[in-house]
Amino acid sequence: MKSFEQELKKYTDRVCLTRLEKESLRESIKSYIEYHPLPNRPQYTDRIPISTPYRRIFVATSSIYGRVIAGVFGLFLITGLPVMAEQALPGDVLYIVKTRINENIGAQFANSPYEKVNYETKLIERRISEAKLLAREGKLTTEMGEQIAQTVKTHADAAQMGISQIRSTNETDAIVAGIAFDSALEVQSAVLDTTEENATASTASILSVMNTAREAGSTLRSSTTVSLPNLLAKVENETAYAYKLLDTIKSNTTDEDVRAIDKRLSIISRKIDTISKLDSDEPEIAKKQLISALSLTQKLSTFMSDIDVRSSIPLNNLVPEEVSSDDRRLVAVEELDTISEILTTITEKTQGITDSETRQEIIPRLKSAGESVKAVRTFIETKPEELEEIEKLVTHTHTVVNEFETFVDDLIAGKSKSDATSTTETIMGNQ
Amino acid sequence: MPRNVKKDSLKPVSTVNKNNVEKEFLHAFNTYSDALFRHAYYRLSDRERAIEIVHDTYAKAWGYIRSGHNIDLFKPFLYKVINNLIIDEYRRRKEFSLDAILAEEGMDEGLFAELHGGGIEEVMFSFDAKVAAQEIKNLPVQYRDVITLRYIDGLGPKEISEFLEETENVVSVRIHRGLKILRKQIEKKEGKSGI
Repeated sequence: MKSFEQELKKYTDRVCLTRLEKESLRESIKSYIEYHPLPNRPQYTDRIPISTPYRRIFVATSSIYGRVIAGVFGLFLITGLPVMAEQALPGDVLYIVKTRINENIGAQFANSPYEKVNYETKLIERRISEAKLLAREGKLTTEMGEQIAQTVKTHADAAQMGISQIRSTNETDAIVAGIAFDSALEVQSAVLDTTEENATASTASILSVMNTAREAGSTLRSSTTVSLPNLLAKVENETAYAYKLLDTIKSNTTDEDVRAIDKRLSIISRKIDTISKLDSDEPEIAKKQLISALSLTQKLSTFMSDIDVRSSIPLNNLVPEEVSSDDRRLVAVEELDTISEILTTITEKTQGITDSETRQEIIPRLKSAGESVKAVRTFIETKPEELEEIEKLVTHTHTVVNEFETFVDDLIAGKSKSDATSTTETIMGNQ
Repeated sequence: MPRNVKKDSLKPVSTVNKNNVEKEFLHAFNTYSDALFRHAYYRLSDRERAIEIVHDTYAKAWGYIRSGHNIDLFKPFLYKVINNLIIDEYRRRKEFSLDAILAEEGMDEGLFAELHGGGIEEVMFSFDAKVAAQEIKNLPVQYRDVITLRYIDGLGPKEISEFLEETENVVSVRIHRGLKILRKQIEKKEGKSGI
């Protein structure tokens, strides 16, 4: 006999959906599926929980729009972000991109030790520039100053290491690189010295680091033997480069600055000429003077090429017009040569004048001027130590001869003789 | 992991694609739709409403899959869903206060005595199964559910207890009392006296 349960099941199993009901229900559910399709994503797995960022990113980028947005974002990260980071200052969010990514990438392009020294020097200049900007905005705290100082020290140490590497192959090149580095540090120290008073305490640590680096470099240079001809060649190259640089900046620099730079370059050129004539028995003196000349030239080049430096410090603070007595005498003699050339020009113009009366006005005065120039030359030879008097006489003589030239030009042009009388009297009065 | 998804219902599905998911789902419909209908029919005593409930059950299951979940075992999942829908239906009909019924039942030593001294099936042995199948629909809801799950869906007391989230003892007592009431109904219908 079958159990009740089995019997009951037999009867209750007869209760089911009819064929039509089942088909209708099936179609209804299929329509529901069509109107509610599955999204385009993989099924949930316990290996990739929905809540993880990975899954969210995966889900977000699986659609075409997600991929486009991801691509644009990626492009921004590669191109736009580094560009924006270049303007960042210590304390900014993007500063770490600037220092850890941009600058590291830049360092990869510095192949030789010399290029590495240059690059580290550039980075120090960047740090100083950042410090100045922060100081200007009143954001340069002592802590930030120390942070920048630490970074400067890192770059300085890297530059010194590069110089040591150069030294292992070529000592002259190491000297040159060391001088360039030292000159850059000196310039940047001068720039930093001009920061606002309220930031002085913050820049002290940075200045201290740079001074330490300069002292280390100086010690290294003094102990290094060098080929004087090679060093002389480097100095001459650097001077030639500085002259070319002067030509390029003439259009956007004041005349005063151009004259000042030109004057200093002239002094350096004369110094180089003097050094090249030095007795080979005085190599140390020659080495010192060449190093000095190279340093001055590089500082001048920095002044000309870096507009921030030009706007921060006067030229005389960076490259003082240190003219020696000999140089002053040389300048005076050169000026007298110029005056003599003017008088020669006046003589040639006078030869073209046919009017005897006009010639009578000019020739005595011309002779007098010539004798004045001769007298000043004699004074220089007999009393060379009287530099101030020499310069005073030369300047005065130059002024008078210029006016005399104007007088002669006016006479030739037919202007009134009375205007010229006072000028010639002045010339005659100098005898 | 979502709280309402048991870990053992998830399987690493590395190769499932949309077509396979639909295929599995429709297979689950073909396999379990009759059983679900039967279950809903005996509990609700309404054929049309039972069909609607089955439709809603599969719609909810599909919504669960769309939300990113995977259903490993369809049978227990579908039964869970349909049970919730039926309870919602009960509440909508306001046929009874489930909480009141549960409070009324109580649990004491006397209940357990009912389970001893002879198996209930001995009592049911002489019943006409055909009449019993018809009378199940007329049982009070709390007994109708457990009788349906026990004799129509073929679940054991342990499985029913997990399904209804009740203790096994409560389920056994309800089955016993349900059968007693069923017997009375059948006897009443057939005009026989109770044993």
